Amino acid sequence: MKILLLSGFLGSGKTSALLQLAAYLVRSSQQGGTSVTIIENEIGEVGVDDKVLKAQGLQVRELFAGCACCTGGADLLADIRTIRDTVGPEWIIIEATGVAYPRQIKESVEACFRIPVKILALADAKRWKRLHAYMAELIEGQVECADCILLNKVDLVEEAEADAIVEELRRYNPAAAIHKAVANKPMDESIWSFVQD
Amino acid sequence: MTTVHINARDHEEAHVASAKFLLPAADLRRAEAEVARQLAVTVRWAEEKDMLIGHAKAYLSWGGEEARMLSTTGGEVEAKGSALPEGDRDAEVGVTVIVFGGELEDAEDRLEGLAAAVVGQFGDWCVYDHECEHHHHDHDHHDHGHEHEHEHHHDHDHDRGHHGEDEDGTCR
Repeated sequence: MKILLLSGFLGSGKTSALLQLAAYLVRSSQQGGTSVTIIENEIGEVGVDDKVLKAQGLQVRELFAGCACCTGGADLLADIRTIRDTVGPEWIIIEATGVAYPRQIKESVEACFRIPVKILALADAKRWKRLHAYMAELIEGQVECADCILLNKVDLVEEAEADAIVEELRRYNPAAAIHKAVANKPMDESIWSFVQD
Repeated sequence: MTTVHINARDHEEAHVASAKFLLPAADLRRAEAEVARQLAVTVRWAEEKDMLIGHAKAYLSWGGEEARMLSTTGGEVEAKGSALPEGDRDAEVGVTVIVFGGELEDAEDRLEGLAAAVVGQFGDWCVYDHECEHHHHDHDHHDHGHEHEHEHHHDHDHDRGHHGEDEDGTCR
């Protein structure tokens, strides 16, 4: 079993990217439709993203107990254990809340299950400057430990601005693969190669 | 009349308000001729400058697993006409509004305005049912178990007098 964590601020496009990533993983797996189970951690009491993912035929478990990087941490670990024992998917994808610090989730899951957790982070090109000015610690924390960063919504900014953000992202996380993306349109599958490394 | 159940709570610096409500099939049918083939739901929940500190997301679902996320680009929430259910089925709407800075009431107010505008698109009006929780930074949380109802028409005519503030002013 492999675990992938999806991070990024509210509205950065995590669910849109997840729809394409999950479809890619299902296609590339021998296990078919049971190869991917998604844990959807929502900060609100009403789930929104899980409805959309289920409508696409994906297996989704909802986690409303709080943000998995703090109050909901124990419930997340229990959910992973249950999925492992009852479904046994090839992949578990955790979509973190938009206010989560992925490092805490990664560390607790890796300590508990002894499985390396890969992180895909979404950054919102349109709002990057404003969000970073207002909450730098969170915004940087969401990308600094990622294996791959998608700079999403690049169609809404000038190319020079997108390039500048990519350079900024590289300073926060020199090791990550960084791609410009428009996640609500079909993306090149080569973006997902990091999950197989 | 549509009853909107609102749950509101703080999470660290974020104020989070969520609601779920049904759009009755009768209202959908009544509105169909006017809006179903155009923009079914287009409501502004915030100004563009507010995007710095907040986010809204919503879904519209009907018939069990059929669901569609409503676009929340910019300050608007919208669904194309094709998102509307066919036949005599109610539609369920779920909405979450998250606001940074300000007070929890700001998130609730925006959610109320959003819900009222959605319901108003279909010629109906709202009654709100509030449940307010406060999560503290030490991660203990206390459910104040405070609920109240007040009426709120879709013309955004807020009346603070009906919001039922607690004595300490922290929970409505």
